[in-house]
Amino acid sequence: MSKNPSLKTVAFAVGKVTFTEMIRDKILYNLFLFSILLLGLAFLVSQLSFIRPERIVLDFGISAIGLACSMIAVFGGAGLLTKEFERRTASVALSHPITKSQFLLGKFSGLVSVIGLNWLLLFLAHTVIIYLTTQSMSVFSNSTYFLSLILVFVQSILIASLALFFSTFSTTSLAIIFSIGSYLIGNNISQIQFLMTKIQSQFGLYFLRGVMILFPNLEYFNISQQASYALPVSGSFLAVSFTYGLFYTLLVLVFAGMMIKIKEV
Amino acid sequence: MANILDIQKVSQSFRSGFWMRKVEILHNITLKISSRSIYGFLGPNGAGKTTLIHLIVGLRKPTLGSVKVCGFDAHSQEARAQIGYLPERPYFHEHLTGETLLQYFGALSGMKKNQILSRIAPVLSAVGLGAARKLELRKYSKGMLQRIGIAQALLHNPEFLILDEPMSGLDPLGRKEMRELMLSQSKEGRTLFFSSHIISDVEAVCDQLAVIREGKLLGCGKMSEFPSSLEDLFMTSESVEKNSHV
Repeated sequence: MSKNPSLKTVAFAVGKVTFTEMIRDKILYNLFLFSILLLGLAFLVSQLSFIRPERIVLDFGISAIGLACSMIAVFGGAGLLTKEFERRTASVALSHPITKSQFLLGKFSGLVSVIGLNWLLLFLAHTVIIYLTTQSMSVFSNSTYFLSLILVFVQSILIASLALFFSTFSTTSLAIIFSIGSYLIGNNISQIQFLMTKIQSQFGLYFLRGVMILFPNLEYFNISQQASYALPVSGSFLAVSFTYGLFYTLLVLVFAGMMIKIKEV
Repeated sequence: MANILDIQKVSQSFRSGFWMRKVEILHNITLKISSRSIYGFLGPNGAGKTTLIHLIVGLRKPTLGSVKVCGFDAHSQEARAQIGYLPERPYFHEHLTGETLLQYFGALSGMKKNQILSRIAPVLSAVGLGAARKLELRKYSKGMLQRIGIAQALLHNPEFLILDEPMSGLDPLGRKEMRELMLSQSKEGRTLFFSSHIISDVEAVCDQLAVIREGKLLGCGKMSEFPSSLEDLFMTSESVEKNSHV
C-alpha cells in the first residue's frame, strides 16, 4: 500500500506539525510582543529627532526584526529536537520508513516557516510605523531596505540551523547558550579582526583565527546602515552574503544530520 | 510457514552513569516468529522487553547479532515499512486531532493523500474512535490514546503489528476491547507481537509465547508446549529454566 516517503513528503508532514505546534508556544508570542514594543520604541525615539526621523525608524526597525527573528530561531530551534526525544513523540515517527535526517529537515522546515511568518508580520508592522512617521510610502522605493530585511531572514535561518545542531548533542539550555554565543560572536567578527591586529601572543592569534573560522560571520547580513541612508549595495556583496548564508546553513545541517544519526531514541 | 521476524544471537548493552559503565540489557537472544500468529512476549518490568521491541522496530541497532523483519535488516526502511508499532506509552503531539495525527503518520508511512483519506474512517471506526476524529489528543483519555496509537499502527495496512504493553493502564472494559481488537487483526491475516507482564492477557489471546527475564530468553514456543502453568514459569526462575528447552 505504501512505499518509502520522499524527503519532500517527510519535510512537509513534519514541518506542518512543527509549525502548528510552535505557533501555540507562548514564548513565540512573548518574543513577538517584545519586537512590536521595540518597533513602537523606534517610533517614539524618531519623534525626538528633528533631522530625518525615518532614518531612525528604519535602522531601529531592521535591528528589531533581526533580533526578534534570531531569538525565535534560537529559542525555537534549541528545544525542537529535545522536546521530541524527551516526550518520545519522535520514537513513533522514527519507527516509520523515514531517516533521522529527513525528520531533522522536517523540523527545520517547520522552524523556518515560523520564522518566516514572524518576519512577515513584523515587516508589515514596520511599514505601518514607517508610514506613521513619514506620512508617505517612500520606503517602497528604497530597495536596500528590502534587501536588508531579506538578509535578516537569511541570518535567522542560519541561526536556526545552528540552534538545531547544538540541540542534537546538548540540553535545551546549553543549546540556547551556545546559539546566543554564536550570535554575539558572529555579529562582532570585525572586532575580532581588529583584536587580531593588536594581539601579540601567537597562541591568542591562533585562538582568534579559530573563532573566526568556526563561528559564522553574521556581518555579511547586516546592511541596516546602508538601508537607513538608502545607499545602494553592490551585487557582489549580496552574492557573497547569500552564498555564504546558504553554504553555512547547509554545512551545519549536514553536521546536525550526522549527529542525529548517532542520537539514541 | 515463513518467519516474519528472525532474531539471531542479539545482545544489547548501554553505557550508563558517570563512569559510563557498560550495562547489559539483552543477552544472546534468538527468536523466530512465523507469519499469522499472535505472539506474546512475557516478562517482568525491567526484563528488557521494550529494548528488544526497539531493536525490532529499528529504533536502535543491536550491539551484537542481527534482527530481520520480513527478510530485511530491522533498521532498514524496507523493514520499517512492513510494521505497525504501538509504543508502551503512546505520546503524541497533543495539539493534533485524531484525524490530523493519522494524516501525519500516513504521510510518514509513504501513503498518498487519497490513500490516507480513504483509510482514516475505517481505521478509526475499527478502534472505536469514529466520533472522536475531530477531538484534540489532549482531550483523549488513556484508553483513547491507546486506541489512536493502534489506529496509527494499522493505517498503512502493515503485515506485522508490534504492540508494547498494549493493555497497560486500561480498565477491564478497555482490556477486553483491546483483546478483541487484537483477535480481529489476527483474523485479518496480520502477525501480532505484543509484550506484557500480565499473564492473563497473554493467555487470553496468544497462540505462541516467549518469556524473558533479566535480559535472557527463558523459553519460547507454542502455548500448548509450555508444560507448567505460566504463573510458575513467570514467578520462579528455577522452574523457568527447566522449561527453557521448549
